[in-house]
Amino acid sequence: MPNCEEYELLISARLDGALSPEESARLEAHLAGCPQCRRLAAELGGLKTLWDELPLVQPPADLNSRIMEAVRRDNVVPLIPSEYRKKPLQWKRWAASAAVLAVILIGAGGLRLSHSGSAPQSAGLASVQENAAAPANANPENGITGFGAAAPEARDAAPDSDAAKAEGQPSTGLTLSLPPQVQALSLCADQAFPGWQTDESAATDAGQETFSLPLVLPDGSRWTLSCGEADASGQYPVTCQSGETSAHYLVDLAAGTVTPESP
Amino acid sequence: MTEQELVAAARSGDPDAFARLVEANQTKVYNLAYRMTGNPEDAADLTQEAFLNAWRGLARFGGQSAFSTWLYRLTSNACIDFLRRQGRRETLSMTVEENGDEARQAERPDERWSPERELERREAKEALEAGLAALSPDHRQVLLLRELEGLSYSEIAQSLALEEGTVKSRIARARLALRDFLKKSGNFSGPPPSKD
Repeated sequence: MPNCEEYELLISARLDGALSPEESARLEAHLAGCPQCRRLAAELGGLKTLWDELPLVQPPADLNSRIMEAVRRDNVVPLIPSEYRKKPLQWKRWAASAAVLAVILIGAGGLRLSHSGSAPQSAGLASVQENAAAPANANPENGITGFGAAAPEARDAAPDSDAAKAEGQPSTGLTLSLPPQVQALSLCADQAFPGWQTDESAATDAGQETFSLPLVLPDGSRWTLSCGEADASGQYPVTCQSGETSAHYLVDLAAGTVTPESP
Repeated sequence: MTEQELVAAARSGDPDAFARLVEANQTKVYNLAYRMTGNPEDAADLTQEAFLNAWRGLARFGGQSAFSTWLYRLTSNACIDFLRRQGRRETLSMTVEENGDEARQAERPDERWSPERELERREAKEALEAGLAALSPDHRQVLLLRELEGLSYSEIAQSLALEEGTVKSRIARARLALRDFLKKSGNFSGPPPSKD
């Protein structure tokens, strides 16, 4: 149909009452002289009446209640996991608190409380004594969701942690998946700084990637212990800093020894 | 309450207000979904999906269009996505007997019933259902919104986020495609006899 494509559009639009008076006049003029378009107009008109025969279908009777059930269920605001995602900063707090636990559990000779720390930690320590499986200090705010296998976020935030590899030390018979650096830090603190407490007031450096443990001693002096990667012999270097004073140790986890070394 | 008031209440988290919006619109939405998919179960699922999306998206609905127009958009999107996932062209199963009689009688209680008229009706309905099944989802969608839901070109344009000119030409092409199919399948008896 040469030239009639434009009129096909008008024929269709006329069915919907969507023609301007000008378009309508133009179409009428064309139809007067074009049998094909007249036939098309009649056919499309016939099609329109088919629609009258299409029944309105009733939805299932329970559709409304199904929908509203889904709507009401949806009303619960889900916990957004990202709000509890551990940042490296919080991971270090976790590590410090876990180091406390490590001191209790790893130290030779069984359990001992080497420090009290702040209240939530104490409560956690008490429960650890009773039931090693209970994650102590589990508290989203300080970044702890549990230790060992139950702390995947901690692992994620510190990609170089060996949490999966570190098993509990022989003396306790408990399985702990603490990163070895954490264990090294706690061992070093215990042996080199008796009476230490975690320094809660210490500002943690968010940019640091190393494992660190801020301490405060009974005499009030503050130290920051940092543990690096294991050296060739498998020992962990711990650097202890207090103002301008520093001390260095090598921690042998297997042997349970902390050896001072010159910087 | 007016629709606007219901929407405002629902937007501030009132599920009962939303339930009334569901009640007022569910038949329209269900029919669109049913005629798009040809399947009552799929239609029910898609209706639920559309309303759930509406509930979740209420904050975004600014009231620039009628609530039902927006609802049609959600329904259309859900149906088109569904059909794409199915990957089918001829997607309508011919559920001829399932819903016919009750709905038809409920719709036209006053018309005199005769066997011939009933047969005509059934043939016409089947022909149209077959024709719809043969259309592309885009053609089917735009034709259903115009013929089944009675939306204007402008409302369809809003629903589908298209230009009005596009809606106009798409409807024309859909009608031509429908006519071609029906003629080919012998279901179309052609125009009624007229003086030429």
